[in-house]
Amino acid sequence: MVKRLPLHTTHVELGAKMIEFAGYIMPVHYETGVIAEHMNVRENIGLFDISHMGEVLVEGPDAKPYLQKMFTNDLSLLYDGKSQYGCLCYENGTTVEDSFYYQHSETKYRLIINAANREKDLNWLSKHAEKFNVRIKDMSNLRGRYALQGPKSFETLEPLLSDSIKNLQRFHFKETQLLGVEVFIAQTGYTGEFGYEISFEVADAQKVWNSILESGKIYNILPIGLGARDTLRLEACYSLYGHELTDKITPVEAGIGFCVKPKEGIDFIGKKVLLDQKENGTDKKIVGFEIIGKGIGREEYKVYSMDGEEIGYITSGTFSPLLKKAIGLVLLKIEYTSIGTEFNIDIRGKPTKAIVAPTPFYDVHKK
Amino acid sequence: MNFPNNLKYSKTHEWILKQDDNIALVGITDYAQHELGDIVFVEFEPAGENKSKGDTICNLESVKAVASVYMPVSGKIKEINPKLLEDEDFALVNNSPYENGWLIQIVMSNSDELSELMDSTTYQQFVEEAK
Repeated sequence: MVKRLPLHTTHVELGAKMIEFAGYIMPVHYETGVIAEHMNVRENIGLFDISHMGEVLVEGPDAKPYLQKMFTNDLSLLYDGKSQYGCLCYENGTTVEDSFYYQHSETKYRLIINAANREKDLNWLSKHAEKFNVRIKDMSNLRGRYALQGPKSFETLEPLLSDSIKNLQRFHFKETQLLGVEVFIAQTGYTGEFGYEISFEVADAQKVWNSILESGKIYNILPIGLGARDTLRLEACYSLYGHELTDKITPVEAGIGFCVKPKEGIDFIGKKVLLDQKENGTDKKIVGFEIIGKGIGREEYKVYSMDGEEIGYITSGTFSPLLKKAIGLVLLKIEYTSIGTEFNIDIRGKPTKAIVAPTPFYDVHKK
Repeated sequence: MNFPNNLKYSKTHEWILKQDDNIALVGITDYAQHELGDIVFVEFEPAGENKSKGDTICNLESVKAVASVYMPVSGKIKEINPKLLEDEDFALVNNSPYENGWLIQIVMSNSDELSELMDSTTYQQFVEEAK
């Protein structure tokens, strides 16, 4: 069955074109279209309904050691009010899920997971929880989530809150009230832009949405659909599960080895393989590309060396509204992954020249 | 959504405008451009080739997807819209699908095939049912 977002009717009234995504009927773009929405997030501000995503609480005396056993990153770096990005991996190092998780205390963590992976993740988390004193609570249906992204995010959100978020740093979060509504606010996002992600009880979904749109009106706020969410994250080169990360690709191969910390004293599922990959390298890797010829490289298009050897495939590809050229991410044999390497993409039978490019294509945090 | 009366329509959402005995303009409908979203590139088949009804004319690349456009009748591609081919102003297909955003001009090999296409009222009903 296809599920509806709590604010389904609101999106339709805003002129959204609705499509099915991860079991939900979701806005792909509103009346303005993907390019205008994309540019509005880069230049002003945009509001995304990401209530389809899963939200899970892990609580109990063993919460921290349990999550360290599950996630690839180093949880000793976390403290109360801080979040971290990491992956859940299989024993062979390939990826179950990538997730942001937030430490409320050493006995309470909030995980945000992909909608399409919710059931798989909950099974995986439960299966490995037996030896730990933890409780895993699926909050996904009880809570809604929005992302507010763009240079005017602070100015839009601040006046609505009981406590100031002026000093809220990147990857940190705070629990406060938005016009009397209990909200969880993190300075995180999936666009390569400054902004926040906000979670709240489903009953408050309409009030939070309306309040933010009203407050952002003077900054030309727009609601943003999945189309621009994808082009924004691709410019920033953020991995998307099912594309860059799968049960056949490890985080090291996906080019996000920064969230894999196989240090001494830390033991997580998949550590042995991932440690070996970090020390000795991999035989394939995901890198960024730009098309030199004409056309757009799409997911699953095959790529060939200039000598005609098949050397990989595109994991995500699009037209970049900011750079006005075709960009993407491609899984290549390791010997073809250095910046400047030319290769051909098979676009409907036509070899189209592309080049390995420096990444990210854009990220305000890395300017 | 707009369905001009003077055009004929195909089930694959192309329109055709008869300009002369065997000369016609071809483009995609307002409904089609709306479904595709922002178009950022058009890859045309070369002009001068003979095509049968249903053969590919071009591929439209929107931000999210790629879609093929087909010959609504048989004929030869006479001219490709220079505003698309040379000026690369692909947003015309979204902003003016029935006028400045036309795709190709063709020489029809059998203009009787026009009678197999839908008029604007029938096409409008067809689109309503597809929704």
